[in-house]
Amino acid sequence: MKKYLKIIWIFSKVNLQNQMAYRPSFFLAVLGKATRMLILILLFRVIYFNTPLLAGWEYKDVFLLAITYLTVESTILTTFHRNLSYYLPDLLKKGDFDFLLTKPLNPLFYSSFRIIDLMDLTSSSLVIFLWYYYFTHYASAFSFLSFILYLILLGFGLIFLFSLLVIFASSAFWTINATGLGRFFEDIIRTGRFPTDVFKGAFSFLFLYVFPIATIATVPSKAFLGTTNWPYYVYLVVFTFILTLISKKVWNYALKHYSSASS
Amino acid sequence: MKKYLAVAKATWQEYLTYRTNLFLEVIGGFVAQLVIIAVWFSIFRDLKTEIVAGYSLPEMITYLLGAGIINSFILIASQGDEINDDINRGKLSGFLVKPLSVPFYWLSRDLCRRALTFILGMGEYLVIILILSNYFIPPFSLANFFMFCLAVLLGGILHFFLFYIFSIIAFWMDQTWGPRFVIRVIMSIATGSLIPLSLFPANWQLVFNLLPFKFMAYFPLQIYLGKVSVSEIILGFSALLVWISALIGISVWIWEKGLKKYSAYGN
Repeated sequence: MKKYLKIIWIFSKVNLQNQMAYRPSFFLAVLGKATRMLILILLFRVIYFNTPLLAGWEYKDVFLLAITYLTVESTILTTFHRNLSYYLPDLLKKGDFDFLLTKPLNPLFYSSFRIIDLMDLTSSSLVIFLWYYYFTHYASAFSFLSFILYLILLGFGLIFLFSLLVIFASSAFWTINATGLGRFFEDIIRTGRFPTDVFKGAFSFLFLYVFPIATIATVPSKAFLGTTNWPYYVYLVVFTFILTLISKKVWNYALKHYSSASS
Repeated sequence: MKKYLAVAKATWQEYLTYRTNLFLEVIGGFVAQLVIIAVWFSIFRDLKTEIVAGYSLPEMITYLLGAGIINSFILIASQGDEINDDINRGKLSGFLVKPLSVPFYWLSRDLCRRALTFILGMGEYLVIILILSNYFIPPFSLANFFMFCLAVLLGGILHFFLFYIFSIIAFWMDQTWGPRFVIRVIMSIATGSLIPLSLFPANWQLVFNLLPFKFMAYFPLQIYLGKVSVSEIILGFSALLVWISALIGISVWIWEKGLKKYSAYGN
């Protein structure tokens, strides 16, 4: 574990040097990423400018949901999202994946955390400010248990997204060009920026049980606000566990069928 | 003209090779737009009202579906990457010795990609329009429909030149991804494709009116729904043409300056 954390630290330093080589672009990208976060808050502001409630959620609660979503989004964008969605297919296409296999590291770890995006990490400081803003302006009293539950659910959300992306990314071993799946994944997780309570009937079932996008922000936020649903949490644990196992199997299967390209 | 058609044909075949990728890109945007539609269904259901901010539910659904279709035509991702790479990797040198206008070459490729994503997007949205046919309203009039199509086309050209300018600054910068990303982020809200601009507070609307982005989605959709008067349409088209002319003028100026600076690095 210590070894892998150290490697992540080294990856971060190397990548910071690479990204800072294009300084104007780096700072503009950070500005753009921060603006994108604020646009989500602005979007909710405009919606609540025209309605007092959204699927039973008040603005202060949706603010929590939005920053929960932004926390998850920043985490995955900084770490594994682009590595698996875009850089892995690129490595496979150029035949550079062979080089990665020769390293004394778990190939999945290396493929997922090889490039730590410092642009996203830098812009994430805005998320910290938004959390500060939430606690000083909107948060009412909450229990320690709710907060712990919130963190655990957030963790399950991240495991769910990682497993899902590993399955998506594994397809690159056959299709080589899987960047479209990466974009698709981005758009799908953006579904999680709204409370899934806006969906009714079959769609509600879909986003809660079949493709539980609700785990990204809605479920943790509700737990934080004191609305718990223990049977659903049990389902979520089982679902995430099975999905993780499937993703591991799919990844190993893809690795076994890997035949080098270009090199 | 013939050579640009040949470029378009070759580009079409090239993109068709990666059609699954393009399809997934478009379908992702489609799902995201469906979620916004679900949000508005929820708002109208909760408020138990016929009109929200001047829009009935069918008008809002039609607006959002129309914005989704325009998105698949205009607001495609990674706009300008190719131009940036052609300049920075020296590939431009190969084009400069050919008997063609390089900006028109890029424009032909761009329009071709737009046409393909538009067809894919249209196919997806037609399905949802059929499902939500009770909420989808036809254009205000035939004349409005033609003006809507013209506005979308001109919006696409405006979009191209905007990104073209921010791509050819690659003559001076190693990487133009940053500024293009900032523009894309601003566009995500300022075009009105996510939410009609009239729903914003007055001071925000004032800012949006000073920017060219509203011509890419909000303005065409207002024409489609018949929410603008004839004089506003004339004024809108005039402003749109002024923006396009200004951007073309700026792009020609930057292109000429850039060519003098170009050193075919990487070639």
